[in-house]
Amino acid sequence: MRVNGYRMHYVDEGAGEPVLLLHGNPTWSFLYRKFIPPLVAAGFRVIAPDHIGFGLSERPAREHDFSLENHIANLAEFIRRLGLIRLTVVCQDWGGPLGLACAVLDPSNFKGLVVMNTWAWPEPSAFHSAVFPWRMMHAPVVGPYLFQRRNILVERGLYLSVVYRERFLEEALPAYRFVMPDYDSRLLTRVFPRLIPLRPDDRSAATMRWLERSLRELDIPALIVWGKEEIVFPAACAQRFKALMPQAKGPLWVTGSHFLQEDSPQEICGHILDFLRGGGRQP
Amino acid sequence: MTIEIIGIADLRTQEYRTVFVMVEERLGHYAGFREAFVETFGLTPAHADGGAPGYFRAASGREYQIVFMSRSGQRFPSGIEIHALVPRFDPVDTEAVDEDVWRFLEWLIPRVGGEWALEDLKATGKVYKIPWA
Repeated sequence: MRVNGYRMHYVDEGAGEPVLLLHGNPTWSFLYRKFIPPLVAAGFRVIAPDHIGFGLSERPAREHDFSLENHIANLAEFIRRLGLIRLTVVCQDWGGPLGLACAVLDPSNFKGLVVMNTWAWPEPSAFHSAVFPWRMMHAPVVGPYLFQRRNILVERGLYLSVVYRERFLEEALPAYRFVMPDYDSRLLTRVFPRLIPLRPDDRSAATMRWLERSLRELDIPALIVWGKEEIVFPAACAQRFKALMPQAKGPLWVTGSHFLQEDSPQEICGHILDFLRGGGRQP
Repeated sequence: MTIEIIGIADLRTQEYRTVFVMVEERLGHYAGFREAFVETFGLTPAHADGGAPGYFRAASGREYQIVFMSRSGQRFPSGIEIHALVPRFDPVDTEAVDEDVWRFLEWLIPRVGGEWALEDLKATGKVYKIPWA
């Protein structure tokens, strides 16, 4: 599908009320491979897009092509083009700000929100504030080298951010490598980190302030699922979501580091199905 | 000295072609990095209009060109490209280039200074399995 001029790849399986599965950096729809069959079997239509710059979607080669606002606009247009209604969004990492922003933009169209290991406010986590290793990784000149020439987020970062590492190496790493084979294909892995605001006047900060303010006023049923071993967005972030969205169920704690979909897919799917069957907004 | 800043007259590579290594489009993403290049290469805004690129020689002897980029609304240089100078039609040893560029980063970070410390670069390299860290 062409979205705002870019070619956007997505998985679309099943029939029924739609569930949108949103990945972050540096993953793609493959991250949800173990979520799709049980959700489809339970009678849902499951859509898992690859954000522009990731997976099998188009990879613009210029850093200035990307902003948080462009990503939100691309996802909003994707949802509109597919004509998705009564939508439940499942989001993690950058999927959070993108998916939650789309819910804010068109709340009557959303039935539920499932929030996992993410954030939706302008203040950075301690992990994102620290020079070592996070800010050093994407510092000027260092960033293109580490992220694009050495592909560190795929080659090492993913491995360090799952609990079941041997299983990850066997089952998943080749698929993440497959879509990041060369320098240009890895651009977004270093652009997304630079979009995380650290100071009030940084790029993206105003949009993140808008998102947090808007979420306070959103009355969509929600579920918070969090990894017990998560260090990028620690437990306090789950509690902050609970304070932002007091209607939310959870947090439910599962075995999982940052990429908890790799660690506990069946358990998380069980929580999502319980939520979809009983916790969503009624027609 | 692992990195030697040189002028075009000092180049030893004969009949070279330039091979793209990487581009940094947001040199000002964090304060200090742009200034490190400005001070090292004596850059002024006038360089944005047809000024010469910079050059460095790694300890390996391989030589590199730094192209300074300009972008409306941003201070100069807004970005840089690094190109390897490769003799005529010789192949490129990408691992050797990556080692040279890692040494360039080790040279650069102390010149940026402030909160940017060489030990943090090396520690980051070790965590992420950079062979030369």
